[in-house]
Amino acid sequence: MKFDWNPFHKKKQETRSGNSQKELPISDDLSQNIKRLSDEFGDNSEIIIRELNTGMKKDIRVVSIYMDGLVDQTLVNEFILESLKLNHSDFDKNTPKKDVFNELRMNALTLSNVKVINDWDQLVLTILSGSTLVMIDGWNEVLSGETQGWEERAIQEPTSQTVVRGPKDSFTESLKVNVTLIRKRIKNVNLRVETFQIGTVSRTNISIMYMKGIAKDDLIQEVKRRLEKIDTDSIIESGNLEEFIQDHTSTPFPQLVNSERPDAAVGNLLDGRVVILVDGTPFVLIAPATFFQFFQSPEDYYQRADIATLLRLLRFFVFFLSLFAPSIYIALTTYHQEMLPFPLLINLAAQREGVPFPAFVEALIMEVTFEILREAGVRMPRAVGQAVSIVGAIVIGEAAVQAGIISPAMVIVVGITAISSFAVPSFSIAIPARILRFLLMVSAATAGFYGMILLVIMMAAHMNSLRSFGVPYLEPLSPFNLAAQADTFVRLPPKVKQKFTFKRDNTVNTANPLNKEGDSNG
Amino acid sequence: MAKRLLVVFLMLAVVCALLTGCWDRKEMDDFSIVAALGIDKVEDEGRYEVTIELINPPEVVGGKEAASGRSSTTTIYSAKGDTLVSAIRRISQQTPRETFFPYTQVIIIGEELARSGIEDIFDLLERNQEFRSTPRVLIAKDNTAKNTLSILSPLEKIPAEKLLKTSKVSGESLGETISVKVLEFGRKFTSEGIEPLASGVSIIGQSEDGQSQSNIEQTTPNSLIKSEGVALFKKGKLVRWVDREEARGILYVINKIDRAIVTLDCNQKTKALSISVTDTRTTFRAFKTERTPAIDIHVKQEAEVEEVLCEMDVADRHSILDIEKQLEEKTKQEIEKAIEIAKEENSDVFGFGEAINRERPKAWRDIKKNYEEIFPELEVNIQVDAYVIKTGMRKETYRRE
Repeated sequence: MKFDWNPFHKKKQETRSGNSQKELPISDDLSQNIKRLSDEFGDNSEIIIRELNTGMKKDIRVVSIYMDGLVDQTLVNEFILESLKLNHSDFDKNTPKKDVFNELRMNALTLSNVKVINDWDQLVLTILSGSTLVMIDGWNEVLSGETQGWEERAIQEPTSQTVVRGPKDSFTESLKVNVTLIRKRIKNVNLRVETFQIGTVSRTNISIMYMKGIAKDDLIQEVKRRLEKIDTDSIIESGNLEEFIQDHTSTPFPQLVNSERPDAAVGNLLDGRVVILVDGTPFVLIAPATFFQFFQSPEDYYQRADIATLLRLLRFFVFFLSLFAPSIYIALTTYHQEMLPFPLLINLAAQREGVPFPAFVEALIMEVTFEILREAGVRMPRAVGQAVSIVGAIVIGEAAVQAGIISPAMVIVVGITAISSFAVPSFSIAIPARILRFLLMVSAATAGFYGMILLVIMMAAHMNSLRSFGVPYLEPLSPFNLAAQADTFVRLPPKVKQKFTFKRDNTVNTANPLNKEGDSNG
Repeated sequence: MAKRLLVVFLMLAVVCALLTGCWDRKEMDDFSIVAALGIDKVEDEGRYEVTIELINPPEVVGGKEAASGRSSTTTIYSAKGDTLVSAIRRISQQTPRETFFPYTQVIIIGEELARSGIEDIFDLLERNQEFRSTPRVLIAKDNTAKNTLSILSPLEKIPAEKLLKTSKVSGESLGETISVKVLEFGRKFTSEGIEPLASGVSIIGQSEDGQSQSNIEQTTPNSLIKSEGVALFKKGKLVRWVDREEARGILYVINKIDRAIVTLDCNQKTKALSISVTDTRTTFRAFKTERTPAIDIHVKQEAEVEEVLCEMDVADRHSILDIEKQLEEKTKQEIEKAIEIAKEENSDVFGFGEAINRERPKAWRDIKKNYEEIFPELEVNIQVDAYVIKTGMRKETYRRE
């Protein structure tokens, strides 16, 4: 993979790390270089510096340097050390070093990717990335061979975004593998990959992928600009990155989609979105994101359109439930009892008899208990999982009701809410629902439906003010885009969609890459 | 700047939400649901005695919340006062909870009060936002509302529900009673040229026996509530009870018959044929004669043969025609009788005056003032078209000569 060094970013980095002596070029004195390396790496036991002699008379000093663990030992042994040991034509001490260097570069190292390094900074970075360096005494350029090789998790089934029908592979922690997983699916030269390194300490590789000709140039430039502006020590997960490049910080709503599914990434690429991959995490970011995108599952496109549409509508309903169910219950039972059907009112009233708390406190207790259980469920060691879930079920379900502390109806409401919050396909959109649910409960408890409506109006105004990489968050509902309705709440089958003669969704430029018309949108 | 404004706005909005201070909040165990409201006339301690039936939810629902049947599903409270509101408020001396009126199912008016005039009670029912327009108005025939409400009933756990459902079901399947909503009743009070009517309920058996749980533990309860009769009003006062066929005659005219059972003669045998009227549509129009307006009533009926106790071939066209003719005649008689009764009492429960007003407004203006003299003399033409559309699943009768 090629590193597109960004001048802007580099400048930044240099100013930040003023304590190291990076300005110096590489010396042509081998001993001096080795000393400098050992100084810089300190007592680091991983760095292996292997000195050996080559040439006809074994009088040319050569050093190979690599980090143990980051390299594939077989590659280093067979293709670097072996080839260095061979007698190379008729070199000896007196041959100009330039010739020796070129000979090694052109003929000796039998690796596919051999680069020349003449910058100390890059030299260090190359070692740390798992390449093997070859230094020749008396020459100020260094050869690097790509010998990366370390243990990696195999490609497995996705764990957080599963489908019944659809590809079963998911991204891994390796950036290279992830790029390949996407590349495999789009055999088109217009699929472009650009790689950055972000994090002055971690120097994490971050790649952006987009379809040239489909994705708007503005968008690509904007993504790059935001990545370049990042000023941080490290990026460990794409979540770190998301916080740096999102448009708005003070909002519970996610403004970037994350996915561990290559097919989802591919679909979004073909829709003209930019995919951002971070080395070390299987979750990629997709920009820009609109609110309604979080309700789409890749499976919508693998199933028949009718069931896909119904399921999509169900998901919106489910989101509504997970957001509003407890607050509706509170508002109904403490303010608007006359809205309940007569038999239901009697039933609920009977259940409330003897419950010591107001409905709001009751709901709060249950919701908080559920949040605790959920958090415990995620964090606890696997081995004790069963114990926690048994205790949880008993505490929430049986005991609370039998002790008369909680009314059974409240358990039902909280249960529905809990299940609903898991039925939303994107975990990240369940989070605002989880937070806003409590706000809504407070407003329902203070002013009933009136209070809820106030908050909903505020929420709507807030969501309308959000942008994701320049795209309105509520697009295509606000601003309204008729063409995009074919694939928002419903999914029309492709044939119907064409007959509808919709213009293509212009949220992002989705024109067919082969169709030049698309460029006019960009 | 814009951001600061937004922050200020958000803060204000939050403050607005919090300043409401839970106004109007009430938990469901802070109030008791009123299922029925009874109003009686009293002489001492004020004008009215108000009786309310409060629901005891755990007993209604059953399950483990119920105190194992130790208390009754409903409790009756009553208090007296000069106005309805003062009487209702006085009930709070006896009940631990606030009363909650939106679910009032029926409003029962004692006969004595009904006879002395009930216009005044409707002011509260329409003015107060807690009352809906849907409770049914029932008159306690020969009894007080308080006694009627006290009777526990089998099958339905809430006596008010029983009253409501009985009045509905018997109105729909027998066609001799009518289920009137408060709104409709009140409207007829205030409209010109129409008088309200309401169904009655009476107690069978001793009312003292009906108040305890033991009443509904028997297969033959000691006392029961029965939906019976239609009360005719005149100027807000109950003037006459009509029952059975006379009541049906009235309901035919006002188009409130859903289904009815009519017994007709069969060949030489009297009352040997049960005909079920399945659909009745009545329209009436006012037209002008030389002197006064007159009314044309047109009734269209569909009927089924339900039961035949004589020899008759129901497949024969002639016998069907005969039945239709008899039914037409019978319906016409009933209507005539009903109109006669209404004329006797001078109570235009049919809304003939309203029809004249609607269709001949000019004529109505002339006769409005002395409509009381005109109504008893009003010319009414009745035309009935009856059709037998089904004869049931059996062709031949059991009886053969």
